[in-house]
Amino acid sequence: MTHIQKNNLIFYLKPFLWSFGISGIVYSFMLFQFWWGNHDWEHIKKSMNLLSGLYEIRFSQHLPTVLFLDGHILPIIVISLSLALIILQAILMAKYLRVPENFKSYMIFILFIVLNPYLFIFFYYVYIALPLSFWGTCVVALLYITEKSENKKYWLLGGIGFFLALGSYPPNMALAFTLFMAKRCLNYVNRQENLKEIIKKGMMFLSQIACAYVGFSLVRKYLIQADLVNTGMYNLAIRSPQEIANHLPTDILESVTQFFHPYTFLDTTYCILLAIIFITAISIAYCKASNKWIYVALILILCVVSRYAFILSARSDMATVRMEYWGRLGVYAFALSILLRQSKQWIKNLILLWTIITLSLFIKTDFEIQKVQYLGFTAGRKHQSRIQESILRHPTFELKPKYISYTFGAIPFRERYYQDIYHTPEMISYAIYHIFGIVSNLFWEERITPTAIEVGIEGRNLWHIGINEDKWKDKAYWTDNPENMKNIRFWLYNEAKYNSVYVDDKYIIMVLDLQSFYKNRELLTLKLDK
Amino acid sequence: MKKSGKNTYKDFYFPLFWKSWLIFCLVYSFMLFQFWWGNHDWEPLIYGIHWSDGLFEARYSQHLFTVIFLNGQILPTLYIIISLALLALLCLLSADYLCLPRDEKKYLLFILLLGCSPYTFVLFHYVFITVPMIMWGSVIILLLKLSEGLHSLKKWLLSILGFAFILGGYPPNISFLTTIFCGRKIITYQSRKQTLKQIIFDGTFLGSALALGFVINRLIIYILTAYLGLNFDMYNMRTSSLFEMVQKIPQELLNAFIDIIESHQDLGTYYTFFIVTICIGSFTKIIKDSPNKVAAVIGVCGLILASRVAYLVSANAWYAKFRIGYWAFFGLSAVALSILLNAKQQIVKNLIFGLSLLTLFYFIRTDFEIEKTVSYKFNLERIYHKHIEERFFDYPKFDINGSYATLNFGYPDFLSHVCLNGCQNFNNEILDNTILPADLGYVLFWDEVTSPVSLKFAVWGKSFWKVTDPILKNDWKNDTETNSQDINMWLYLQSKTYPSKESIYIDDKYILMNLDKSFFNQNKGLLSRELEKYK
Repeated sequence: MTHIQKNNLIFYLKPFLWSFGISGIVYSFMLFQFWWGNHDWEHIKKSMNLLSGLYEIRFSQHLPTVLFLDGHILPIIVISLSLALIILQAILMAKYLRVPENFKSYMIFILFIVLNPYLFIFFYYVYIALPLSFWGTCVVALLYITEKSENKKYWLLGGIGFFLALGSYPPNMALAFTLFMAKRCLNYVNRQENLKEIIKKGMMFLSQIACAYVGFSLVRKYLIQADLVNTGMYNLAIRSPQEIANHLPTDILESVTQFFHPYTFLDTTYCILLAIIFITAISIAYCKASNKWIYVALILILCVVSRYAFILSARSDMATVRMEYWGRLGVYAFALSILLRQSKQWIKNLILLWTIITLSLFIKTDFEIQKVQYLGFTAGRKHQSRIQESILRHPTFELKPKYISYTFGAIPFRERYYQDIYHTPEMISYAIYHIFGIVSNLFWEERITPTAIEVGIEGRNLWHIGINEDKWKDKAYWTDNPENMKNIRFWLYNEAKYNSVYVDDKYIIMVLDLQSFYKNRELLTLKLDK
Repeated sequence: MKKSGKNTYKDFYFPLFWKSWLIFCLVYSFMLFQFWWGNHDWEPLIYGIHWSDGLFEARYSQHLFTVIFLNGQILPTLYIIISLALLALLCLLSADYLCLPRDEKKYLLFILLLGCSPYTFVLFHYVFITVPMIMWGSVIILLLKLSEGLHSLKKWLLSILGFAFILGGYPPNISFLTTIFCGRKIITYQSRKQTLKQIIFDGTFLGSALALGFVINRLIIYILTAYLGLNFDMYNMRTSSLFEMVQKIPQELLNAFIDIIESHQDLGTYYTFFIVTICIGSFTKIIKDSPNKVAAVIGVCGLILASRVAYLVSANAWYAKFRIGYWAFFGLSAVALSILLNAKQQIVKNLIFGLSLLTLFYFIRTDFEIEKTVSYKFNLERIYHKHIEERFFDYPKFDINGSYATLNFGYPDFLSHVCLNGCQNFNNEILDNTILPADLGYVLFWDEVTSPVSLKFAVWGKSFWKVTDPILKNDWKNDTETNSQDINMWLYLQSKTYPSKESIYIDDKYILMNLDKSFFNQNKGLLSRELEKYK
């Protein structure tokens, strides 16, 4: 390693270590407690493997978990590693977007990304905290490396890399698109690229993406044929070209309005503070651009590609908040990189002031989220214990994997602990158990899970999960005892109330949400009648 | 070595601040990453704090900093990090104000002995006032520093305003103000930096500003009473008249010595040894080194009396004696340490250094013991609450969506289950029950998505209380003869003490709990008589 290279490394190491220390303090409550989300129960107990994501075509998602942690979800280490990767991601973004290479600018840039409360979206499910941060970092690294040269070797690296990134968490490609366009805008404004060069680079990039998509489609086809994919999943639904075209005007509009979407903990103050830098940055760049029309077109394209996940997904309503993260992150990073380049002292002072206000708000919100998640988790575990006790005390209950369970609703305890008008039913505020895993979660600490088949009932749907696949296919298992049916119906219409549990020799039925119960109990009776 | 100029902050104060803060974070690390709270904190934890939340006890500026820094939220870890930073700042400012020579070792010892004292835990008991209490302490020092040097009208007016805000923040801080001011005057007189005349003038300047600040405080209280209809009959609102204050002086002087000498069971006898030693040592040094011995003795008495100001002013200081006493002891310790750490003879310096290290070791050990004890006592109570709540769900008539009036007869004495420094049976604001007498019903459902509690009944001081709370449903209606009969039957024939199954009564309107046999037997008649009113 040359002397210059060593100096460069030391330059990046300093902001890395400082940011890691600061983020360690800000996330310390979460770091030294241990709570998790409603998909994490089994993963906490058992380890992940490479195939764990196949059912939703996430073939490379768990690669980093398997590589670094042998598939285990480990307290402190998972979050620490994730934070380290996010900081690395921020440094790579800063390099890619040519943030001025001084300690202060890098610290502002990195802390903005790593302390952003939006990040909690990805700490809710502990099992994907590491994959999401790893692959996000890979996406940025790929962009940075593949633009170094037009050599075929880099092109191939990009194609393979984006293919693997697609197989980890497809919406993160929004970050790739957004950062790519951001770089084009920056280079155009700074006269480092003209339109012809931008188009050429765009073609190169799109060809890599196309290659990645071809690979992804082939894998998807194979997995569907091998019956390894749950094709009914909301996150696999893609729009047809016709649908994309039909929705494009809405997507273009939303590419602008997205900056004013408040979410739980990310209220209008948050939106306004961040919109300020975006509007200021594009205004400054507008003044510098040689051809204003081309510049405006580039900015519009930047905003539109930040909605990449929404353009393609047919079920974006199911995961709006987390899908929006990637594109919005790229756009704000772009804006910040413009502002940090300003040389006038009064602008620098304003940016510093904005940074202090914004980071203070971020830190306060980060702790607030940790408090709500912790108290909600603790309350949820207490509630679980009560329900489990009700089942265990039933005179005929046996701790054997023989029951079919039906659960009406789930209880989001976290909402109890914050007073927020922008409540969004997304990851930060989800319940601790998922509607189709409640009983297995209740008996998580037992050696045996008493259910063979679990059904969660919510939103007029029955969500099935077969724990024992043979039982699921065994018709005889579904033959009901008429006596049970009479008892179940009597209980459903005469005795069931909030938090009540029905147990006989074959069924466990729980009412965790009264609204869901009243709306959906006839679904259950219809199902049983079949 | 004395440093001067801009570099003093960069080279001396800032590194000291960071070091102290880091050490405090290590000493209080168990508390930092856990999350427990006191019996006033249940609602603020969920609903946050508004700046006006202190108005009911005339604390109009108490929550200013919590609202400004934390948007009124009580946030785990962060509020302790901020509190410890403020504590480090407070100790650093105190050292500077008390003219401690600018020696890093002395400053660090001073800060750590004050900040790691086990008495500090009283600040962390009620989490909703941790930040205010420490912050207003720091404001006091800043205000005192401001009022030093050349006096001007502007400074005087600013001081008056500042004191008005301090009195509206956490009034017992006043003991700290008067003690540390007195201490500084003694030090400056002893070191011949000020004459008696100058000290009297300083005292007049400050005293008049304080008096006028007090007048403004009373005026604000009057406005709050007259126009907002607030009731200031609380124990912490009543002040003694001037005549009563004068009458109390001899008693308080005696009480000061008694408090110093008396063993604080929860702080350990070594703490008493520490406070007695530094007080005797410093008072002796003051008298020995002063040019005028008579003035010195008067100064020492004045210092002790200054530490009792909160007790002199408050008519009911005994209610929160331990918490009020913290600021008095903080001030006295600060003054005593700044005098002792200024010793010139090498042998005395070595002795003080050695004793300080030993004391620090003991303090830190006690701190961890307190953290452990508070943690498991908190968890103990929460488990108890959980067991009681679980019983409710077994009752066929219990409906989580219902509307109940709750009443618990008694509450276990958890303090007798815990032990600190080999002692049990204490009651103060380091280890206290996590609920107030009327709050059990509300707290039992604190973890639930909905609460069925509409009204809180309490038996306290041989009286029956109905406690309403805006956060409850407040739609409870009692209508019934049947309820009275069933309840009386339970009260007089069926009830047994918890954990018996018959310890809990639930119908569609009432949740009643018999948690203490003798309390129940003494007070069940109160409920019967209350029910008669509804017939």
